[in-house]
Amino acid sequence: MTTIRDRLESIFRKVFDDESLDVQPSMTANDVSGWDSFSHVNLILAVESEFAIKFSTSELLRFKSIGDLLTSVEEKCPRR
Amino acid sequence: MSLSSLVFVAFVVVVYLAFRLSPTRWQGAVLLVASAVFYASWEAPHLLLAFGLVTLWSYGWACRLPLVAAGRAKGGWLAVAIAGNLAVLGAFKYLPGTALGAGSKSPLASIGVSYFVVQAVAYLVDVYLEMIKPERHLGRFVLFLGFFPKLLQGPIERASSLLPQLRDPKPLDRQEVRAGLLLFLWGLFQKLAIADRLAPYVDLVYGDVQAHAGLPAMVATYLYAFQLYFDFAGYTDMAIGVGMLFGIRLTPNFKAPYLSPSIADFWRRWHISFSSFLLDYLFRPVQLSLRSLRVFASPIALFVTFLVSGLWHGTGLQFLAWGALHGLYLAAAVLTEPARRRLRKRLRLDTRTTYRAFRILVTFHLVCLAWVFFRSKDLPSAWFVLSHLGSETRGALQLLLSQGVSHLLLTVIALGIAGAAWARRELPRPAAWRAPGWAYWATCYSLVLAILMLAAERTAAFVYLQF
Repeated sequence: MTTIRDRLESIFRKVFDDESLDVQPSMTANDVSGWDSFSHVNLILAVESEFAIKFSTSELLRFKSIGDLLTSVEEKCPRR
Repeated sequence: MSLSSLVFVAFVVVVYLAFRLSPTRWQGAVLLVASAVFYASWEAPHLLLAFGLVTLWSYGWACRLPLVAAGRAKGGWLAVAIAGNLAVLGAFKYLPGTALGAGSKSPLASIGVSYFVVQAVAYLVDVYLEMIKPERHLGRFVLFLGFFPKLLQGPIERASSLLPQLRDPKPLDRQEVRAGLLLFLWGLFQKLAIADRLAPYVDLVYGDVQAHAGLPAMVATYLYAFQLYFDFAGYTDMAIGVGMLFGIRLTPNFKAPYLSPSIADFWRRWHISFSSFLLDYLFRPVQLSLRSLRVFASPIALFVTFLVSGLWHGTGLQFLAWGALHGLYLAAAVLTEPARRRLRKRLRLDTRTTYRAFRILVTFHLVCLAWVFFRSKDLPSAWFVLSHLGSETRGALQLLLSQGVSHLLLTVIALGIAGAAWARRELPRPAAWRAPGWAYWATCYSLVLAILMLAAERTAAFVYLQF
């Protein structure tokens, strides 16, 4: 079964154009090549579209790592 | 008490001695009293009132915010807390002539206010986003906002960087003190021997742009680019140096900005503490909240951010034009980046040194174009300078020489020393202060001698004090 983490990983691979990207919860923008404030918008839009969810701006500003993003997605769609 | 005055040097010596002779638990109090005395020395009681209001307001709200449950109400209270600080900024900076604006027309009437308000706003947002815990010790919080070397014109310190240093002071390290002294002298050299030597020519031309159209104005703009850099970088080095004398590391503000290959890179290297504040506390929230606009979210957010940056520098239309111009540069760069990337790839430009040099040259000129607005006394003057670049009035060289041949020569020597020190990456770097004792002291004495010999006869206020 495809987990939320798998789906998130495939979004990361698509947005950052890197098929070998291995997404870990502890990773931050510094660990992913090309993850800057501009590509971050594309990433968030892709995540919101994939999971049909919406983040608030203050939620987005609190994210420090991929783990924070993953937790938030899991909270918003626990049964998907 | 200006940082470049002898009184300030004496003041720092006294504070340093009091700091060293005090038990560790009283050292914070020594710095607190010193900061109050320093701010009071500007003989403007309304500034102490502004500082007191911002400090107590921010301290109170920061302690209150974590008690409010997350949600709309919490966001509302944050907005109130920020609005209170902005109201103080508005009253003291943007309403000169009012009772709160001290009735003074002096551009220095609101000295320091923009800086501690910005720092307080960032602190409140950090507490709101639970990035940091609020500081409960009022004295420490006052020192965080008002530590005297950075009180008047930054660096704008993040709570996560400065508060831990104030909470848990480290024993003074001899190397750190040596580094601090050398940085202070280096900053003083940049200010007195370079910035203040370039200032008279720039002031002459920009004081009457109609009489100095064409080449003189162009030369004045290039010189202003360097005057502003050495003035502000000089101040920052002095502030960082003084901080180090007390074991406190302040944030670097400059990283060879005129060697930036793009405007975006320029803003990562110029006034770093302020531009990173704008990026984190204004650009990112605006950009993320506009994300449904997709490719237009970042350009619009950049434009808004730089308009606000212009407004922060002053309400004159010339500052808004300066901010708008940088906003346009950045917005256009973001929108055209995919096409430019393809072109670079096709022409294999990315690895070419000549292409990088070309980009540095173009960036520098775009920055200088914007400086014309920043330096002009109003928008029509800026427009006059730009629309008369081709006309010739009095020769630029003749005008430079009118300041005196010896002045010109000494300016060139001072610039040469700065260039040589920079090229060898020596003076502000650890190599210089980790040198053997004789070499270190020889460098210090040489700098003092250079300052005494090369300092301009007339010293000017630091440019960024007015903001």
